[in-house]
Amino acid sequence: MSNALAAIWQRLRDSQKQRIYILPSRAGYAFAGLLLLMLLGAINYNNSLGHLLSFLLASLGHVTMHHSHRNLRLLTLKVTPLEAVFCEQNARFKLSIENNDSRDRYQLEIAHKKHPKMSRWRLFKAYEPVQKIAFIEADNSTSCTLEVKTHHRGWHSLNTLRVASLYPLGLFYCWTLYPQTARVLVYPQAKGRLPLPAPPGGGKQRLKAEQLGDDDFAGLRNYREGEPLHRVAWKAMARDEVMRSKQFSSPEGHELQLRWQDVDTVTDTEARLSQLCNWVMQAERAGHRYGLQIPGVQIEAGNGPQHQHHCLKTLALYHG
Amino acid sequence: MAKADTSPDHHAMNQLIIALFIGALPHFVYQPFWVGLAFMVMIGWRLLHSYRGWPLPAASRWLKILHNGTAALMIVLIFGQFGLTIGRDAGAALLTIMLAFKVVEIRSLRDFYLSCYLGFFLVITNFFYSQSMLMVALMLLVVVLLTGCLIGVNSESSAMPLKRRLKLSTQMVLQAIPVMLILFVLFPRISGPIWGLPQDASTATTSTMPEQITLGEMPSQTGTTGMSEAIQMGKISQLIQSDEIAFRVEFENDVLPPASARYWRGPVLWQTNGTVWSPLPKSERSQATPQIGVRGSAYQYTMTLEPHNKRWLFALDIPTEKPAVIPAYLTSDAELHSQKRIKNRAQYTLESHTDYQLNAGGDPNLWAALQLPEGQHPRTRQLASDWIQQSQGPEQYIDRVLSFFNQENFVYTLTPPVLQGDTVDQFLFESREGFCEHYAASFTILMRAAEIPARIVTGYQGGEVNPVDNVLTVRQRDAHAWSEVWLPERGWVRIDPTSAVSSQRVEQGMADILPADRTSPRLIAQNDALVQVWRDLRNNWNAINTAWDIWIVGYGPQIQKTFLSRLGMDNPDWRKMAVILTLLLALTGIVMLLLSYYRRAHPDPAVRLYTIFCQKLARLGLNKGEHEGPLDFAVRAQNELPQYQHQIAAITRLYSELRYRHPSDALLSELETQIKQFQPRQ
Repeated sequence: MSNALAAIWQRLRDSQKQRIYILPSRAGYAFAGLLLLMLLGAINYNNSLGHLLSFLLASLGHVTMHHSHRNLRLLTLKVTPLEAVFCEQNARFKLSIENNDSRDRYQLEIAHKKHPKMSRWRLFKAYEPVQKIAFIEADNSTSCTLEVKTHHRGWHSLNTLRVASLYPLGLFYCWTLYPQTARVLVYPQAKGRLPLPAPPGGGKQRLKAEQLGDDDFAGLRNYREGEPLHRVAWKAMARDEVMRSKQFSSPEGHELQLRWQDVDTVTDTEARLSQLCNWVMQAERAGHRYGLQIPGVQIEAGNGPQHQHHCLKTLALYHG
Repeated sequence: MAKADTSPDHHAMNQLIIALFIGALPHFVYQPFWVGLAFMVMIGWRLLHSYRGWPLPAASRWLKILHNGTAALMIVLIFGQFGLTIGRDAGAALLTIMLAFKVVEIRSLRDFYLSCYLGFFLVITNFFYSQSMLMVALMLLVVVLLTGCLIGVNSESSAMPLKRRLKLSTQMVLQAIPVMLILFVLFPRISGPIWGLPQDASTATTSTMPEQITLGEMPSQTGTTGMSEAIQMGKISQLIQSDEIAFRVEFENDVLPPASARYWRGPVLWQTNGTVWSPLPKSERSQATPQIGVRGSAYQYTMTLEPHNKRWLFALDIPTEKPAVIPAYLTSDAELHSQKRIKNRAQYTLESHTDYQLNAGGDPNLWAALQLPEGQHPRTRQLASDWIQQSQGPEQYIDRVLSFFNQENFVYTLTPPVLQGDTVDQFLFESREGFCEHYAASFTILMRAAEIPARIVTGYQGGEVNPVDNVLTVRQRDAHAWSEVWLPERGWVRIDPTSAVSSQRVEQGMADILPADRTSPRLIAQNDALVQVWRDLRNNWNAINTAWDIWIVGYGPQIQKTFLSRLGMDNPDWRKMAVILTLLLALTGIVMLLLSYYRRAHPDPAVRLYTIFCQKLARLGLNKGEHEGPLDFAVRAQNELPQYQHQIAAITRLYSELRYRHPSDALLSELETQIKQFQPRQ
């Protein structure tokens, strides 16, 4: 008995760390009005069972409050950011919620704070619902993806996550806040009509796959008749029995320089970044080697996903 | 806070319809048939939409017009039926019908909530008609179902199937009961009404002691409902058709008067026109308080009087104290009168004597006790003057009259023939079949004709003692009428002429006179053993009902005071109640909060064993954090307690094996022994 009490006390103190807020919902206020009306009717008609019913419903409201509160207790949230996205796409986060209680959780609404600096008094407008979780089993966890629309390049953070619920009767709105640091990089939107600048020294630099050199490893492709055997990727073949040849790009391949000056015709900084971003994507797709020059940053020519990410990140975090 | 206002699904709708149907069911009986019909048609429409895809009113303009038009027609019908004042009946009918019309057009979550709330209101209207235990059970079911409906729209049906929803709603309603009881007992009760009560609000029983009694034919315009004049003009022999309870009496220390002394005095009748007897008009009545002399010990008892919409408070013979909780006074006739009409069940404690002298020194109204209707009952008067001359003193004369009733062929019957013309003469010399009112009336006339002041007292005689709780129940069928004569130095003396004819009526009570099928079902009435079983069952059931009626249904301002003083609160008033109520509610709130932090035993036995392991470490100050994994915790514990390194590692390995890989009984028992042997000390 004393053990059980001590355990209860411990849990009560633990739960103080995560504050849970609760307020009656609109339906809850209406319910209170209904109770008052019922009680008046019962008093007017001297109806004892009318009193009993009003008291039962009042007590039910009280019980609901406890159930509502308990539904948000002992939850642990873990947020992992997923891959970088382009502006106007959805930034994605993986959310896993652990239920550390011996009772199931129902109908949780996950919302995130739209602006980090929004006043705490504008509690309900500052948050935007992003996900609903219908059920988490006792002592278990569930995960889902949060998708948040992005409007600006740069780091996108969830700020604070709010877990809220109207469960079980919809009479109380209960919520709790989890500040988050997880962030996703948002590249500038890839758009712009300017053509890719020509590489220095003429028009034959458009590299075709057949012209690839043999110094830098550039990837794998299916083996074709006539290719030298030392280029076959034996390790990959052992994995899935498909014969592939290693591709190398030529060190003599021509380089593109994507420069801030080249987008002079575009006046708006964001539009310039978007144009550069678009060029990076085009150059990568076409297999060019490309470098980036923007005020304050110069990136040597290169190629491949790592290089692309580096360029795009630079563009995303540009401060002009 | 805005929740997407989506329309509730079919499952939620169907559940709501079932709940409302059960809630409206009693109204099909209480209300005119078309109320039930309209309700059924409307919920039928909604069900056809759910199952057959029939269009709802919103689908087309014509359906909308049909829906609204029918609703308007129903309101007109209600006004036609009940008139323009919205009383209890009209209000309940309106609510029932409008609820059904609302159900058809539910489209949003808001509509759904509104319908649920109206459903809760429908529950309370049922209590205005019946407060029986059966009704409460039925309505509790409705509350559970409606709560289930609210859970339904606040959870996904995949996560919360119907069965689990109902389980949760039942659980929540049960958890609500303790606070409900505290509020019920301690919430300071105000005696209503706060605003004017409509005419039909009274729950008074329809049968009650008549204000007058008549020996002739009943007036022909027999009303059928409520407290019509015709019933007030009725006869006591009509009242005994009713098994309704008039009042219940609980005697202190279970000291009951003998059956033949259980006379419950009610209205006293003085005036007669030959057929109708009535009380003295207020203007002629003396305001003097009666002089009462008593002998012997008093009976103390608590009366629980059913509402009868009159002012009489019945009492055993002569009460010597006024009730403490009801403003009341004793008239010069020694009738106990309340200041207000009894519209609700009333409870009061009295002290009475059955051995008493009333107005022995003289009565200011004696003149009225000698009046005879002019020119009537010639044969009776003749008989009286003959006999009084032959007797020495009034006592002898009274004996003569009683032996006349006893020895002549008088019959006590519940169905006397209808008397016409001079009722008293006809009864005494021709029909000679009568009921208590005939005997009382003719006896009183015989007394007055002999110049002995006499009057009729109506009330109840007898009653049934329930051996289970020793509560004496007096029903309408125990209604009785007797006479009182005024004798010098003895005052008003009770003479019950009925006992001269049928001593059984007075000594054994009414139940034995009634045909057997009035007291037990006809099927078993022939079998004595079965009748005995039936009586036992009925006695227990009645005892439960008595407790229910007095303590639950009758729990009002008065009984609350009585009950709280019995619990030891001296002189309870609303301030004391509010203080204790607040304290108790706060206490229950804390207990509920603590209980809500109680952690249920984990369904996995491995986790339960591991918890014991953690508790053992906790005693040494090593607490496993809520979010710390077992492996991390093990590392920390091993660093703190290097001497137990191997045991901790073994237990943690077994635990993770059981929990995350292959649960098996062998491993489980091994874990159990390992944990038993693990006795860490600093």
